Amino acid sequence: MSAGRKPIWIALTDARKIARERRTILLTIVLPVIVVIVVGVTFSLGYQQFEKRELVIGVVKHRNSTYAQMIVDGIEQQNATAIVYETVEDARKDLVAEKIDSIIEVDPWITEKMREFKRSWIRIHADETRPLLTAAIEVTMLQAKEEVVDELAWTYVKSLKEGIIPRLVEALTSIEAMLEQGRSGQETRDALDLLAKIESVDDDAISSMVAATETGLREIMANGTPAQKMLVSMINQSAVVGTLRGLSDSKPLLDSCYHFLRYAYPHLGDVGGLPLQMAADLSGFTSNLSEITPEQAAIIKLALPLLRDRLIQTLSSESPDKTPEEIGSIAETVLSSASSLMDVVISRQLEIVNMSRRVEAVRMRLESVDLAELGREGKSLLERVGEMEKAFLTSPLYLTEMPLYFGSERKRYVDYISPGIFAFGILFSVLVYTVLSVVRDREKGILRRIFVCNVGRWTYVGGKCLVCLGIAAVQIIILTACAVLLFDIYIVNVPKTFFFGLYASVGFVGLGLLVSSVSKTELEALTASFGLCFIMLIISGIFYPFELSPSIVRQASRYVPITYVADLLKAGMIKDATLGEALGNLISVGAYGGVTLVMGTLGFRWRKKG
Amino acid sequence: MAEAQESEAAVSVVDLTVNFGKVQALSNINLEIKKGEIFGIVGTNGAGKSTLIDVLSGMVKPSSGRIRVLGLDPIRQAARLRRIIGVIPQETSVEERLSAEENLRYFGRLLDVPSGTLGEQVDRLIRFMGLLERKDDPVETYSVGMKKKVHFACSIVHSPQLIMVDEVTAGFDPRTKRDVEKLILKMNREQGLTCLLTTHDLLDASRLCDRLAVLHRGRVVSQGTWGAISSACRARLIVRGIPKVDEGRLTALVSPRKILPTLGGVQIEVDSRSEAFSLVGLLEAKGIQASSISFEVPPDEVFDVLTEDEGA
Repeated sequence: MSAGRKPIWIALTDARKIARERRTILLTIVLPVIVVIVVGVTFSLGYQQFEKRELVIGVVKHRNSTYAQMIVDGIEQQNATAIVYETVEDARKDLVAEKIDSIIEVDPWITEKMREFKRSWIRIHADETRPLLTAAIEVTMLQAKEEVVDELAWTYVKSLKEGIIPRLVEALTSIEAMLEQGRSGQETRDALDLLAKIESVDDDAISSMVAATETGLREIMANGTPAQKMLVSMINQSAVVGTLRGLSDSKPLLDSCYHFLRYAYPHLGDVGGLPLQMAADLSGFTSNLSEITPEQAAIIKLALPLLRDRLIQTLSSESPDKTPEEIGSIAETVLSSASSLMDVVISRQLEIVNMSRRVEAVRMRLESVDLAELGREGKSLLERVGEMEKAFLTSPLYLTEMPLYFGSERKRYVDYISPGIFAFGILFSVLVYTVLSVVRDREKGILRRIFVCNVGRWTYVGGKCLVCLGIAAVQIIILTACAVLLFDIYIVNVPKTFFFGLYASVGFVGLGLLVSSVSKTELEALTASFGLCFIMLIISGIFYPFELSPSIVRQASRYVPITYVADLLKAGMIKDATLGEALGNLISVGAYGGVTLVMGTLGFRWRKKG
Repeated sequence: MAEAQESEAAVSVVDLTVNFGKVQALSNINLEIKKGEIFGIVGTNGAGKSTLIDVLSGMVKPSSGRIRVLGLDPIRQAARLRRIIGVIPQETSVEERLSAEENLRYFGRLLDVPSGTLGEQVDRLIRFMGLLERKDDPVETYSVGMKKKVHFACSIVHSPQLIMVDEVTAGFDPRTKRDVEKLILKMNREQGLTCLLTTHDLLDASRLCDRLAVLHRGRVVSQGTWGAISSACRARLIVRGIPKVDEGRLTALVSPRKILPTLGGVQIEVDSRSEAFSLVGLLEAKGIQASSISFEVPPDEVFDVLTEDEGA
């Protein structure tokens, strides 16, 4: 019979023994699973506050981007510290030196992206080897969302009040002055009426809305969370009602208003040639531009050409020195600008109606808002980012804090520690099994008997490695099932995880052999195994925030195999790394396993001491 | 000539010395065990019995000396040797979770028994050991004696020419001890196995072995048949059931020999078997009636005598 098959016989016999021995199953399979479930539950539910530790974040500020400064401000309002760097290289040096926890690089193109109202992200650099370091901050440039628009509605109204209306009042004052100079009393009265109406356009309502909104925002600034405060700050800084500002700043539109009110408006009540229904609609026409309905504006636009003759008459009488051609040209300009004004009125009125509704909703919400709830509500609103299209508002900058394990918001803390759980499970099973079986067999004289059966130590160790592969396979299957079913952990590449787990398990056999060599009894062996597992668990920092460890422990972790095994499993479970990418850890685990296996085999004892 | 003698000898040990650091475990041992005989190594705990077996089975390298086991060097030809010897350790070392049959198959495979003959060999051994009815039960459910049978069977599953049994009867109750002795005799007689036994009990060895060697503090202090070994010691004539009236006459008759009381009678020290016979004739001639007269050499005393100088 080929000696090469002896390891298989040893492995099969051991497997049979394990299957019949409850204590071994309990120690090597069940207990590790219980341990990892307890640890998993503990760390997935109870220790997430670890993520909330104050971070020191480096912000790389390319070209003095104003957005970088906004990010810095935002970070510092969120219990974090920001350090500004001019270059990524400088920031990386400090990251390596552990002076900062992560880097936010504000790319030069951010400003352009902001202007284009496109969603974009600021890149995150996080050290993946340390849990808390990966709790980085994601900074997202968001296109305005519906909810943010609602929050900004008051700005719209404020702009309307502070920007448009005073200018209209100014224009009408001029009109009044002109009317005073030579118009009939009726016209004067009409103009004064118009002026009064414009001045009182929803002013009270707007004021109350603005006041309510501002009160709410002040309360937020006074009592809100840092995130809420930051949001308000961002709104104040960046929200711009571009189109309205454009309207208020537009000289041609002001001219349109003048032309309309000066020449067209006085005649609108007596427009000949309009269909009867339209004339009826216009009968209720008001000079208050904000009260013109879109329908009325459309009728006015239709009616304007009918005013041409009267307008020419008026212009001719006002300017007798102008030629008919010049008068005609002026009339065309007036009609054209008035028509443009009506277009604007139509679109603005629709917008105003819409905004007014929103403002009302905001006001009601602010009145009933529970500040304590605002943060949560705001977060849920922001999660729907990108779903809305609000092109007429600029994007506010939104800064949110979330744990980014391995560069993905998909991962949670339990996802992060899951490779460590797997590594611990495999370590525990393989170590306890190897130590226990070797010491027990030695105590019972089985090893001596196997030796005189012409079985060499390498053959025997080969058999143990095969058994450990089997145990690790079972362990990985159980742990994978637990991970998926109990903790909803997403394993990116199951076959690769399986392979890496098996590979690592062989690496732990040598460690088990070494422990068994120095253990005389089962009690000693188990004590040594548990102690070793515990020490490695603490040093490697696979279950808790590594940053809490003293520097010496961090250094020590580099010499503990489970650190590399956990990294190797991360490569399969979370990153789906290629073999090339995982090569470093494969070599580390292989080297450690190889050395301990050789040492453990050479130091292997067939007989009891003494 | 020496080669021819070696081929007749199952075990040949010449000037064997084994040192463990500063401790001399075996010193200048010379032994020869013939094929087919049962040879006993007798000694107290720590005498070097297990070490001798370890050396003969190739587990321990000797410091000096020449050893041949079935014509092979136990160290240099260990693999070949282990295919033709069976080592039966003192403690019962079988896989208790497995059945007798599974144990035999497992160790048979490790001992390179061809798979074509393994099944037949296992069946034969199970019948030979009387384990047929419970061959499929886990060994952990067996009695101590049955476990010992499995233990023995596992060591001879590859049909060795020589077995080495360490502390053959240590720690057994009388019945189990008797069963084990019967088993060894059966293997020796029916299978022609050469047996090397170690024991600390000279009485057991005297009953079981064709020849034996007394090992004391790593040295062979005596070897040969029990008769030869015990001839160096004073023997006892045990006389039981003497009428009260004859007790005084007996004392006077055997004087100045030493008389010790024993259960139902007395023990009379004699120098030799022939002296004992002449003393029995004298008792008959003087009309002293006894219900039983027996002769024995107390093994403990033999051992004490043999190790007397060493122990001094």
